[in-house]
Amino acid sequence: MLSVLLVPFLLLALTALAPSRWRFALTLAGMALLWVLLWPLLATLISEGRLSAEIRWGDTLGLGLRVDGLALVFMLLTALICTLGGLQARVYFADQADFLGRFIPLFWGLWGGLNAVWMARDLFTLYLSMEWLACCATLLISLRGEKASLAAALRYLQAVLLGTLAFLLGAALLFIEYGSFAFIDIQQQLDQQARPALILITVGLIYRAALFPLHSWLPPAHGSSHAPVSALLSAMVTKASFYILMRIWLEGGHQLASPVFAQFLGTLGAIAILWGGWQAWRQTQLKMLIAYSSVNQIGYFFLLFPLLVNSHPVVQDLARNGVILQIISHALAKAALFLAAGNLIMACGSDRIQGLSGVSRYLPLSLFSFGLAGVSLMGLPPSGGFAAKWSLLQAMILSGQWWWVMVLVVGGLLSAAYIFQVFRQSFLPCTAQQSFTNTPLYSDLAPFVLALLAVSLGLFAIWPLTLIEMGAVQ
Amino acid sequence: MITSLDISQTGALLCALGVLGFVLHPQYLRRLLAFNLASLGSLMILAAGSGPVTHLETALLGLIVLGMLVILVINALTLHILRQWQAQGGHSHPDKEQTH
Repeated sequence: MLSVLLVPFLLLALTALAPSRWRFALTLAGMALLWVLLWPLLATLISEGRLSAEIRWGDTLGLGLRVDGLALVFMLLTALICTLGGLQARVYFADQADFLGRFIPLFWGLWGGLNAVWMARDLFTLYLSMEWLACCATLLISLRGEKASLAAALRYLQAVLLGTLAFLLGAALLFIEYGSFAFIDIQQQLDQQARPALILITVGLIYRAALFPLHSWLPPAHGSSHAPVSALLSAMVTKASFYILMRIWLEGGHQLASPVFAQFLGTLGAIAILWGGWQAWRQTQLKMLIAYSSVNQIGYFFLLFPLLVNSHPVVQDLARNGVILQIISHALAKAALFLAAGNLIMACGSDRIQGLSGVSRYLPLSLFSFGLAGVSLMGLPPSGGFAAKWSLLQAMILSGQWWWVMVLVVGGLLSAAYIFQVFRQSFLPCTAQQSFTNTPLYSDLAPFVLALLAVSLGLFAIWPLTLIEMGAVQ
Repeated sequence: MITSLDISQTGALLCALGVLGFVLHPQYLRRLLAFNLASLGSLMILAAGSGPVTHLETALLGLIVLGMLVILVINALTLHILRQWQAQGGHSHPDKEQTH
């Protein structure tokens, strides 16, 4: 278990010290090793029907690591997206060896930071992991070295620092009150005294997760980076903050929250769905469209909270399953969208949506992957997005909170509008001045596999949910 | 004698000043200073949580030192990006940057 956490950091050190030409070979070996290390955890869970690996550092402060079903599913999702994203980076940076050389150590730092977040048992380890992730993500955003990407990196850094500060303050208050950093240890003793700390933690994490109206740092950060960087940031890094928030609320936090506060979070989520979708539709640049689509899709995650508070356990389970499926399908679809967009931009030589005219004839597979991922964002069957929204819909109807159903419907229509905007342009005849650069066929592999997984997730949605159920700590 | 209440109150004051500075001042460097102030305030609140300073647990002391190291790394990173940004002709005041 500890090796899954340590290997990425070891690879970070090795790739940082090794000559540039060896870095990708080391990366391939590291990816294979991590899959080999993850397999016994998955096999244990499947064969024994339970998993609760735990490491504790001393007994006084509650510090430690743990792997349960939810953590394992996120570790596997990270491994899948990082493997395909890392392979695609090799294609994307084929003519820019310097960029690839600088990307690889940061890529491993990011992977290690993500695994630390999934495995952390206590709030202080989470604080350290989040700061580490913020540092790696900032350096990745600034990798381009252009003025726009440096400005985006500074803006991102300020936002996440403020968010993490609120988290640290909340963690300190909980420690003073209950004498432990481990939320799992203090959940039984939670009382009204914990409310201010939980509000601080929630506010800090929604800032980091880019929920409306605290989302302004996200579009420039994701829109101005290289496509593989945007894919990793959008697919996994924003999910890390929401994952922590979800765990805290699921592990007892929801019992303390007032229905008004939960409805407020749901309302912010609903506004994010509508505002993000509208802004995505208005964009003239492809990557900014996808970045605003993240603001739109993140909104769905926050519909969890009004469905959790004071609800029947069946509603809570449906809402939790819906949001977990939404996170997985969005991670797969968003990575596919950014990687496919990277291919389209490489071929057209421009990020402008208007410049995509005629691209359907030259890059049909990239456009097909873009469309498949778009199907999941729209929530059409049999995609993961559909399974997620169907589960959320049932929770909304069973709890009598029908007003959220309208948001789901309008959000789906807005997603269709911005996805079809790209398709419409790509099927228009190209202008006389336009030229296209050939991209190798294998560059379509990673986005296609990710999009295929996103669109077929609805068919095997029971798998990750069963793993989470089996691996839940009793 | 300095009590843990004094430390937590001083920490809270530093934290409030830092957050106020972060919100009121758009300049990057001032924001970095404000962040340092607020972070140290948070760590002081944490230190006060385990009782009088003379009885501070070794493990907690280790965490506080670790927290200070993290703040140091973030300062170095911010200054590194800020230097690159200014080398590209960026202004330390984002509002002035927009009017250029």
